Amino acid sequence: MPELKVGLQAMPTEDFRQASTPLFLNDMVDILEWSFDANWDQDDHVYPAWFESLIQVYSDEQSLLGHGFRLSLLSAKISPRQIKWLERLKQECATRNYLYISEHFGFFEANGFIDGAPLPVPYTKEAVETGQRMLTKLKDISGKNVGLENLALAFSKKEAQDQGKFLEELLSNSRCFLLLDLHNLFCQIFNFNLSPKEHLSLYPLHKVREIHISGGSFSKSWSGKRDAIRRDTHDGPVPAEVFGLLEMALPMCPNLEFVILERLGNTMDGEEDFAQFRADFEQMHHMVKGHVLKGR
Amino acid sequence: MIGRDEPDLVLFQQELVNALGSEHSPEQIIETLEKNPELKSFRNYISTFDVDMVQVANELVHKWGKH
Repeated sequence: MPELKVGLQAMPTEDFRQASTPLFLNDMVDILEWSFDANWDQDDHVYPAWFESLIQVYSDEQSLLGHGFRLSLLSAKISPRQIKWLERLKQECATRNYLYISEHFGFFEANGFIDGAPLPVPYTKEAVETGQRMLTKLKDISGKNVGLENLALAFSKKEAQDQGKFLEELLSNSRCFLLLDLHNLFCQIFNFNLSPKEHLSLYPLHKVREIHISGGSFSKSWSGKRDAIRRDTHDGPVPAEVFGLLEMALPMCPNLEFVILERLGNTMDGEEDFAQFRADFEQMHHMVKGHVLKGR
Repeated sequence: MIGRDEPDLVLFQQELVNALGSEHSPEQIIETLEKNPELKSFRNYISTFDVDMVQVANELVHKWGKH
């Protein structure tokens, strides 16, 4: 059974630096994840020196996870931009020691739209084959095990309930794994009034190597038939429901290796928010390490 | 899994982002997609769309989508 580590998604922003420094100083952050492609569209982008050093330390210690979000993995037609992205990934993996690489379920690139947030894809044979082909490219180019994160948005309750099976087919290769984002799962549970345990069980939990937890927000229901819509905005504290899902998921994911707290940069304003961020991390740390102590 | 034939995913994705990138309401977006004769094999799938979720997708395309 693999060792279980906890970590943070690294953000090159001052709020992240201030909020997370005590966690690093207390040696609580086993693993770091970062979105290496966040600024690939800006050739002259420079990260702050402290951030470069942080990434390098975790790379040197073989404790760095790479989490891309700009590939558009399930676009049916591969574009020149995606080919460039894959070439850049090869360079990236030669520069830093990533344990694993992951991306997101869904697509945003089509018909001239080249960037955006991932959208759902109909569960068809063609979509499964498209995704499997792209995952193979990712695996071959990176030389790493490759993960895919579940998507919060679904166009219908049925689509939300089918996503686990769709992911299982996409990830059928032994070097592919599921990155289970529990806040994304919570969005589906809330928006479609699903049972948390039943919905969690629809995902291929034996394929989970990594879990994300985060916060989000509510927006207004267009139709008025719901009180609110839960959104995957990564800009708030982790809700109790997501910690509840973590408690439920830990014993159900026998191959889990990493649990990561995510929060977007520039979403914390002052010491109260920094303390909340650390409290979320400490609660996650306590739950995961407690699970290890119980013998998993 | 929907459809036993080979629906054209390229075309569906193009039409979906076009519709979501428009200024139409979520109801109009669903209607546009349902009435598109080239998306016949996706009609059952589109008929399941929840208006609130189409509104979320519409906001995402307008906020983050770039040409």
